[in-house]
Amino acid sequence: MTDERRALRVPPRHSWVLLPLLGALLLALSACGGSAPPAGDGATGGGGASSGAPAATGDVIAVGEFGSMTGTTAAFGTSTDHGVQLAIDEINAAGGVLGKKIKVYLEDDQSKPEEVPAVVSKLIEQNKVVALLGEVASSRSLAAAPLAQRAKIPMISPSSTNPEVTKKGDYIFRMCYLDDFQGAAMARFAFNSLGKKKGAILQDVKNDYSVGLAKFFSDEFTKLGGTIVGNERYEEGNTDFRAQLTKIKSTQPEFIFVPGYYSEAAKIAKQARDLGITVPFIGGDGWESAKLFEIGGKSVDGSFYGNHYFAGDPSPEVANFVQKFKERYGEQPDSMAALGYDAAKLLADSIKRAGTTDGDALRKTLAETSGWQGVTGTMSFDENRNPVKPIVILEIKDGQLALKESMKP
Amino acid sequence: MTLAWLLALGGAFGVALVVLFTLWHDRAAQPGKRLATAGAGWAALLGSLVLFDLSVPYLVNSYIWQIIIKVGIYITLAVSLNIINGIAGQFSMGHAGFMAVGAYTAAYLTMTLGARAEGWVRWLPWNGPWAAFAGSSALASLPHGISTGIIFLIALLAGGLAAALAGYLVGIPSLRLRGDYLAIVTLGFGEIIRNLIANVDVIGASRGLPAVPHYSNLFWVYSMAALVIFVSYRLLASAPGRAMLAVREDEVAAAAMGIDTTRTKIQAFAIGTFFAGIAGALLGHHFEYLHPDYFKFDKSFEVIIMVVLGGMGSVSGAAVAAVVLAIAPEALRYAKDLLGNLTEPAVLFATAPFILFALLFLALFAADIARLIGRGAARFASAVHVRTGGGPVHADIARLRSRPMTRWTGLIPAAFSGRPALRDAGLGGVLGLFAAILHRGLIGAGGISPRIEYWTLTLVGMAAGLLIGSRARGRTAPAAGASGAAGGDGSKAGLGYRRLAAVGMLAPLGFLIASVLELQAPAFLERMSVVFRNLPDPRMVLYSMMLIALMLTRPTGLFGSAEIRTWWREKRGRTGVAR
Amino acid sequence: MSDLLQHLFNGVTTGCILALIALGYTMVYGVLKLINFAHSDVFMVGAFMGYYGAHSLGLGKGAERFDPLRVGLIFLLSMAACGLLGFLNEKIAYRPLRHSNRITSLITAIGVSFFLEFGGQMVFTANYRSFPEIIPKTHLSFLGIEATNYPVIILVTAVALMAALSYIVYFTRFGRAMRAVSYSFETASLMGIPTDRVVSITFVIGSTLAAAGGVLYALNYGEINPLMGVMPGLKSFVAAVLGGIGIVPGAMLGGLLIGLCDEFVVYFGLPSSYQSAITFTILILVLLFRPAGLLGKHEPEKV
Repeated sequence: MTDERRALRVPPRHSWVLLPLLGALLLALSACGGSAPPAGDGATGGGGASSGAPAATGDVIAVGEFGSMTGTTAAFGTSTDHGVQLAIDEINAAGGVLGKKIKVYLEDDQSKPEEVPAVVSKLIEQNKVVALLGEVASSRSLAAAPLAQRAKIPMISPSSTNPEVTKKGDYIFRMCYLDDFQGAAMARFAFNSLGKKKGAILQDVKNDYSVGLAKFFSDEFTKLGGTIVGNERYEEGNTDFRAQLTKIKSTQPEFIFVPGYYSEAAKIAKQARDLGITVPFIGGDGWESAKLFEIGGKSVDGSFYGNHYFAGDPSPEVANFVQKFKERYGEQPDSMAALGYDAAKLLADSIKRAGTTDGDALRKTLAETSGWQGVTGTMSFDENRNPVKPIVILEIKDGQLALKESMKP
Repeated sequence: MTLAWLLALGGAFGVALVVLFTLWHDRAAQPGKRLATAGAGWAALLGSLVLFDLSVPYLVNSYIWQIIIKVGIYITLAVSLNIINGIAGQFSMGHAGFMAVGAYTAAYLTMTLGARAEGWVRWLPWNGPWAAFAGSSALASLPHGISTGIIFLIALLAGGLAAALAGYLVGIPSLRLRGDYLAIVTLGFGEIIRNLIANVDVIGASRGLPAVPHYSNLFWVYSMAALVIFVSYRLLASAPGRAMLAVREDEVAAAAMGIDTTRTKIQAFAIGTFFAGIAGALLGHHFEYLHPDYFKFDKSFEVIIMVVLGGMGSVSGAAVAAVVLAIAPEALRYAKDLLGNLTEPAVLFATAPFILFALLFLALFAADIARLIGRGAARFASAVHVRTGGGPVHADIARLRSRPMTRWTGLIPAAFSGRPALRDAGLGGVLGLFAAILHRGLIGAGGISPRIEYWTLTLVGMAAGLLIGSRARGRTAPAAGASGAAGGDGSKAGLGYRRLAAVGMLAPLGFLIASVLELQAPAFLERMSVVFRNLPDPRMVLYSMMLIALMLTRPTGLFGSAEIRTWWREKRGRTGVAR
Repeated sequence: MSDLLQHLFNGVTTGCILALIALGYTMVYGVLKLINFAHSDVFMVGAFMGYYGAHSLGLGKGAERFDPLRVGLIFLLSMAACGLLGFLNEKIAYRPLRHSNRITSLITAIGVSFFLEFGGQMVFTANYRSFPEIIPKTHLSFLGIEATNYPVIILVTAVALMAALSYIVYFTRFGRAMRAVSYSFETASLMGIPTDRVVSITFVIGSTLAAAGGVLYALNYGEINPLMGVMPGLKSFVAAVLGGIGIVPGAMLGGLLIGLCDEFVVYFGLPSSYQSAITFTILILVLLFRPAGLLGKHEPEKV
């Protein structure tokens, strides 16, 4: 019995004094995690919020941004962030909003839905943000929406297309079209414009986005009179699609609809070409990324996908934005960046229109947005806080994007 | 708001009652009294949890509350795995799979039944008067909480039973295997379960299940945590529990002694997975969104770390480790925020001593590695030399080969051995540093200049430490073991303190360097801040490093011991009755 | 019929890569009775070393012609780097625990694996990188199978490496020492075999093969990321167990079988999301009913 006592090596007695003190210290530090070491001057700001001072009455307006900076969809998060930062810097350079500068607090959710509650509640409680910008992926927006709704903080998702997201509450908005519109539009495009009557689908069952899009596409396509000859599945993160592609090949489709994200879509295209499949691919806005070309190379040539905007659009709004983005980041902005830019600009504009950062007033002003001009088009929110916007369909020719068609809802 | 404080106070009082009843229970010898005190203790615990549940959400912000819930769930997880891994010694790596079963079962039930549960609140006779009485205060949610609580209880139990059933089914074939094969099989089952769930469309398949009602609250989470801890301790004192311990220590001997090892192992599995299912259900109803990805092997690994860190077999260890690992990601986020703002003088001063200590430690570590490599190379060279028919080994090589290794990293603690005054000064300095950090955290910007504050508090702390230390040493000097032992030998208990003391001693130097950098090289600081801001989440890397270090140095974990150890027996001798 | 052949061909290709990794698992288990969880991450490091090697040797944008010298160098570099990694891994993490219980070593192995994975995420960033086509791709078509020259290269390389390994294990003195150590560690050391060195070199060889597998895998899929080793690692572990863990030809057989199994799950109409479940079910069935694997001999547990 006494052996157990010896196993506990006891430190000398006078050090025991320190133990409760250290314990109290730890408790205190974690409890006052809300008041992180001081945000000295307002402009540079501290990492945590200054204790007790609601961000709007300081000299900054705190806006929270959360996205996938690392992980499987890292390109989406970083792209969106670039767009947001560009917009915020432009706004701040022009004097800010309501006489104050906007400060963006960025949190990374590592492309995982389970990280979302922690980062979102941190932004809301620790950084005391007045609004949230995020997320790109519908599954992560779905995880965040209840928290934003409960805390009465308006949340604008730049590019979550799943219809469920805005149904979570009246504080949730989005900047992009919905999957039911996108799926149906792509189906009409395939049937009418490309004249294809038989197609196969290869969907990502891990994401609401992909499954929803696949369903809306196949519903509309069959309604128009086409047939879906093959329907295979994969999961985001898979690397080998040869089994599914071989199966699809045997059904001899005229095209393959791949409503997934760019990383898998590129690999699918490559492996399909390796297997001798020559028919074109059709995709959704999840394809939008420079990495699509990096990974897919020549295999994505001749494919089409639906998108929110076209970087080669000659209109002054778009051209201006593209040029400024290129100057700052050295690369062409993709639609995530464009939507992030628009979301940030819309938010700032709404704060200005509302005259306050109060959650309820901001929400009302946002909901009343009508005819607002952004890089991704002119938009108004409908009664479900979804924008009414056209979809552009892009064609990939020799590693470049070209505008094929634009469809209105 | 004051009502909330009153309720919280009530809750605290309830906790005190629990402690009282527990002590009373320990002393009671008659079964009647023991039962009564146990019952009263539980009543007090549940009552105080209700009071806390009503009051705490109004007292802390949602971020802190979310952490508190997470801590409770993690405690349940760790203690439940401890029953399987620690008490019965069966290394299960599939815990996440059982969590998933419990989570989805409970979620399915609450989502289908829950709508009705919300509805029938309005039919309760006392609903009207209560609403009038409570208004919109903290108490208003009580009836709603009770009615949804009943549904939730059913769902939790169902989830737990489903998980226990899964555990039973998994256990029957698997528990015939030993050690690492069992581990692999449970890993496999965990993945299979997750994969199967990800294919069931009605619960969302791979897309996840949104709109899980938000039923997890303090009451449920902590009452389940208390329950699993209680069950663990009761188990340890019971015959089946002793059988499990016997199986853990030596399965063949236990079988020879007539214990049905398979049944014992399955029992442990079923109990452990029952609580895993409950923990999973609580998690699901906390996130309001369930996704099969929550339950990958990473999650099992996290729970394993908790149990291993705490010490396999130690219930309190598992609980403590669970708390640490639940808070760790937030602490890391906090540290990252801190380090991302090195241009702030206050932040810089607060972190400079620690960074300096870390750099020094790393430099010494590098020196250790360099010496290791040098010695290894010398050994290799001499081996080659001999192999290729060379003559007697060259003198230099021989010398390099045989030179003993001084662990340079040991220099830091060794610097304090035999110099207790230094150590006390250092510890006092660290306390002063912490006090300064705390104070600045509370007052935000303003007050006296951070530099002055840090300098004075640290120096005052050092002086105080010296004084208190020498006083204490004066008093305990005859027990020469005390300070000498802590300072002189490599006792691990003293090591942490000595490292802390090193931080304290380095603090002034750190402040000096910080001041210099701040004035002369702000751009450098800005660049460092950006580096830290862009650092990806180091959580898993740190966990794995800690795990490896733990296995290499202290495999029994923080509180674990390799021998059979029962809490009750320590207090009572062998018969289990109070003295 | 032709798509059956196509499925077979695909399966054999992936199976070869799995076999290469499985060999590492099986050899280490043979000598140390330790499941080296970190092996899948050595595979990942091999792919990354190949990536950096390709970039530094000028093949970063893909090759115009087949340059055997540079390609060979890429392979050698990554194999050498991973050999070193395996050696260090054994020396630092496993050797001190050689005499502790199995669970401690298992936990340490898992710890090393996670350390490499998430450390890789910090060092290499978590982004997916595209692996250059260091050998120009050409299309082949035979027997109704559409493929590129890549699967052929993979097959040839993998078979060559496996042949080399078999030669070492069965026809050299060192191989005999390895087999002796795997039969009985203590007796081997009593017989004067330098067991520490044998174990180290076993790790080195295993890691070398994993590195080669990594480069081939990267070529096959064109993409690498720090977590790429997880699924292939688990699958090849199952393969090693299926064939008989500790038995070299068993790993090769197991690898091929598991590779084919994945393909046939889809061929028979099951959604591909069931692939993992089926692989693990195979693992469990093997461990329950024939723990020594297909090619193994059953030994009763001695007290």
